[in-house]
Amino acid sequence: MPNNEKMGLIIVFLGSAIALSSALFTTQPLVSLGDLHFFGDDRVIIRGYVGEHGGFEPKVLRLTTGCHRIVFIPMDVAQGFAIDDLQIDTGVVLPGEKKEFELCVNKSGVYVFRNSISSGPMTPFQIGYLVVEGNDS
Amino acid sequence: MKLLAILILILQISVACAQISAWVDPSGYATYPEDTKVIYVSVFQFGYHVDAIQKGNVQIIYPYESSSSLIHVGKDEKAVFRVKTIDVTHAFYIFHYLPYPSEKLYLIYPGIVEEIGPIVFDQVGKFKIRDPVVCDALNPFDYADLIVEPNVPFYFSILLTFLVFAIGVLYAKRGIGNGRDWDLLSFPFFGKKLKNALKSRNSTFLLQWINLVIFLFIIVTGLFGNPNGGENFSIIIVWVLWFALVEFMIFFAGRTWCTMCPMPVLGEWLARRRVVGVNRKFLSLNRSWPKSFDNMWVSSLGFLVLSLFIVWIVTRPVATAVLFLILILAGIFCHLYNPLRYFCRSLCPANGYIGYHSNASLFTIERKSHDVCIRHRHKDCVNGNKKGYGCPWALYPGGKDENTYCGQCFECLRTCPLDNMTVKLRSINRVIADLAKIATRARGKYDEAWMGFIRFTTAIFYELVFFSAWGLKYLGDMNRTWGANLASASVLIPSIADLAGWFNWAILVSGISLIIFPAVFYAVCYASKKIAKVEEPTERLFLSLSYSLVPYGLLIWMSFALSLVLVNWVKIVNVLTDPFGLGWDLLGIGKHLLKPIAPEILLYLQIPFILFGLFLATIATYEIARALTNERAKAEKICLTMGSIHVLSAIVAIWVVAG
Repeated sequence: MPNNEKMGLIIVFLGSAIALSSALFTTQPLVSLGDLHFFGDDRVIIRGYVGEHGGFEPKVLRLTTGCHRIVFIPMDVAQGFAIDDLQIDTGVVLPGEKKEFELCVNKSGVYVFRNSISSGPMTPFQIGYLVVEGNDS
Repeated sequence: MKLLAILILILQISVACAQISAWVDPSGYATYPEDTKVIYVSVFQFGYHVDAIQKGNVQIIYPYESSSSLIHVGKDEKAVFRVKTIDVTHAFYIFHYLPYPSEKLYLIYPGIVEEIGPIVFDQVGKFKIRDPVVCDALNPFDYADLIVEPNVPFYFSILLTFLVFAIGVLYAKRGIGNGRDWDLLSFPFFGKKLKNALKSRNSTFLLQWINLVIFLFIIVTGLFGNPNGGENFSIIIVWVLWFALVEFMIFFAGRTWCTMCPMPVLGEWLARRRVVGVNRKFLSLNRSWPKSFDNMWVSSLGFLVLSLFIVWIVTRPVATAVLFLILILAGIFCHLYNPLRYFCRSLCPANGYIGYHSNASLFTIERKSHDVCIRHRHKDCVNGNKKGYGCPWALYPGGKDENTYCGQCFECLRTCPLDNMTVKLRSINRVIADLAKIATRARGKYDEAWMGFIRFTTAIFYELVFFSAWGLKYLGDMNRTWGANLASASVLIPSIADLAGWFNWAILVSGISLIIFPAVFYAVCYASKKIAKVEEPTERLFLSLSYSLVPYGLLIWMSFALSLVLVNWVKIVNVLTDPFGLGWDLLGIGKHLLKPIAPEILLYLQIPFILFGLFLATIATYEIARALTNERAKAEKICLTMGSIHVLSAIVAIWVVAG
């Protein structure tokens, strides 16, 4: 087999492998690794999809007691992110925008987070759970 | 049961009217002087509805059943918009009259009536109202029309239509001759470089490989990226950038897309057992291609079928991904059946129209001397040699005089030992003269005629679906609200009622493309025959004159493509920095809101393309008629009669764009 043919095959294989493996960046749990890389720190990403698209990603968020930086990103239509028990409400965030805020939780337990604005018929069902573990302070 | 249905309907209308009456009651808002028009607009997924218009003490309330997404105002009139949303958060942007959304965004939140204005409408014409904030699947089609009367640009364009037709007739009567062409490979310096590039197997391979990687990535983003098409690389790169580029590429560079198309290459590489080099021991069954499929029927009907699902394909990433997966797999199976490019020739929906319209291209591959080809016995361009394959498109390149089935793979340039193949740039006159020759030979080529009819009529439908305030998009969409990737594909399952709506749309589009427009075209051909007293059968006139749609259809598609890019170019930048639509910013440039280029004249940039298409169709009609009848007087009569359908088509296209 001529050299240019061997080189061509290698290029085809590598190119296809890179294109296809890019899918790995979109899947859990690598998605958070991917995001950590792009954000360059340990902020927690929450993506908001309307109920028809599956709701929040992740639906269950596990954190330890203390303070954390949260980034909320609506993915399809404008959404809000609220944890009523912790008096958190981002208000309207548009798709393409990111809303970053500090979440401090001193008490372990399970908290419900929800979409705080009307984003379609399934909005009431667009909820997730924040599980806080660790010592209460 | 009927009584119950009527009662429910009356109840629904009453509730709707009561809802409208409540929010458009002017007593609840600030008052404006009597000369200010107050327009009450509801925004929803995916459109606008004018609920009421109030001026002074007069208020007109529009029921929900009326399709009032058209707003008329007078020049120098003052208007205030009161806007509310009935579902999710939207935004409100009027081309030219409001600042770009990136500068000032008028958001419409659920439960709040937003007041925008007063705006003084000092420029006449048609302007688009668009929701610049993503509100899911059909957001790119979320339009209403604002017409500032008198719509002088529209009336002027209609007048121009007749003028352009008259100029076309006079130009054709003067005689266009054979036109000129230029051998690009004989240009000093540039010609040699181009020749080396085209003859190199590596350059074709690299182009194909780059596109293969991009399209594999498109499949991946389509399956796993953001379900919302406007945020997904697959939708924006294919249906804004690629779609528009291909239309322009056909006119200026022939079938250059086919040179680098990645759809058939996996199959071709597999069958050849080579990705770059030449190996004529094929891994293929080598069966002969069925004669009944060796035409343009499958690809033209395939294009029509894709058009029936176009609302899904261009807004749902998963639909685009599945489409390309099917095309790649079909390419592999076809090459394993026969190693030649029969998948492209006969099955690929894009190849069909690219091939058809490339006969109106300025670019072509041709022999230098016919005699040299005839005298050369070995016919390397057909049989191949160590430098290249025999024509993979099953043509005899030395005898080729049309672009329809030439895939511009440049194998003939590589294999010709006499250096008798070249690439040429043709003048418009030469293009039309060549087209007239093709048209007069077109006996029995109903497949190509219908490709012309389908492409011509669907161009108007695409304009209506993509840019108009009309409700056609809902029928074509089966009323599915949400975007879809692989994980959320189930949101696309339609209800029976919505399927019935889609059938109405399918019947409308296919009926006009396959029956009504061809029937009208046939009738006008029959009238031409009678008026010009031509002896040729009407079928012959019909088939030959249908080739006048080759340049006309292409130019109308180019006008549509131009608008597509000028409005949505920001989305191309957005998906380059965030291809999966997951909130990334790979290029560090951030994501931006809609920013159409030249919003004050954007619609009118499309009109010159339509008029140039009419001009080319007119001179093509004349030349084809002259070639058929050999008489200028008869050709003139045919041209004038056929002008009725060409001018009317231009008026319809201009009305859709600017009327």
